[in-house]
Amino acid sequence: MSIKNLVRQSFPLLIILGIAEMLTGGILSNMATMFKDTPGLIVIVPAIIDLRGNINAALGSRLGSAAHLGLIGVKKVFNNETKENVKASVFLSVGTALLLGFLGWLTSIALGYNANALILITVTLIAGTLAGLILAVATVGIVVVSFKRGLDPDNVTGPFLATFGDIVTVICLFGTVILIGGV
Amino acid sequence: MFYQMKKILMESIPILTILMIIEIFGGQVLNSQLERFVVFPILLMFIPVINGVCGNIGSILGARVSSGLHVGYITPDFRGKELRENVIGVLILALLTFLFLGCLVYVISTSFKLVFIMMGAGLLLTFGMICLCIPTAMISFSKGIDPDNVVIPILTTGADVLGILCLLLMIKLVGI
Repeated sequence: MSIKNLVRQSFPLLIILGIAEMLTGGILSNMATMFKDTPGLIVIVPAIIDLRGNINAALGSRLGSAAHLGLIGVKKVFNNETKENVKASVFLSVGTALLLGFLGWLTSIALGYNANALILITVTLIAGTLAGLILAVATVGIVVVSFKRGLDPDNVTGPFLATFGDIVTVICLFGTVILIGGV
Repeated sequence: MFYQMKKILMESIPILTILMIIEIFGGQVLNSQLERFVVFPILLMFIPVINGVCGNIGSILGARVSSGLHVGYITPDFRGKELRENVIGVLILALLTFLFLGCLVYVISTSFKLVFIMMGAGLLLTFGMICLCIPTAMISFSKGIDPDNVVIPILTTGADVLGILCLLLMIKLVGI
């Protein structure tokens, strides 16, 4: 029963998201010219995409455990347990964005790119925080929807956030670079 | 209250920092080495798909095993029917997904070699995900760390790094 549910709930999602993943790759390669204009950006792109997915998939996984433990449920989604989890996730998004900007700058210098620390940290901070906020809200949304449809959140939040996280982060990064470039 | 922000932050920050560094350097290696190895551009399209799908499968398994450990129907001793069913479940999931993607690759390229590379690398990486997931979940749970905070980050970053290795291995094996 468990296997059947797992396959039935996750397989369609994996196929759709696998295709979405190809499209994100397409957007990323279009951004390649932008990477060349902002030295050091290429260093942080894989890490910022990965981090946003990690932080929020962990949030989804915790909310999934909370659901199995009976701490949250169909009628009690927006309680203190959820709030504490979302707060932690947003904090992590902002904190790791700052750290990543700094590490990215150090790495760029070490690699001999002519990177500007202020620009790199600003880009990661704005893009990381924005994407983190959107994804934290999306995570709670997915948990609510999966409750309503009788799905196990554990079967859907991970794949959804890893892929949706990539797309949102790439778009936020794209937007932020345009914004900063315009200043 | 079961969840405390401070505990989540204390458990997440160290692991996320380590993974961030791995990802920064992994990205560098990928960028510098990839074009040397990969002759056909279509193989470059395989990378995000294989990494993404296996990262997804890994995070499903991670989330399910973590929930099982929390509730108690999975015990941290590598045994039990529930754990076995979860592993079999993700294996079936991976098989179906890569069968489908393999068909898609055949339609696009009409090359069985490419189909073998896609399916082989994907299934190899799924196996790697399972081998990485179960011990990480069990050990962190035994040490009092919430597996939800560490397993999925390790698996998705692991998929990014190991995925390239699996693909390169399959390219060598199939010989393209």
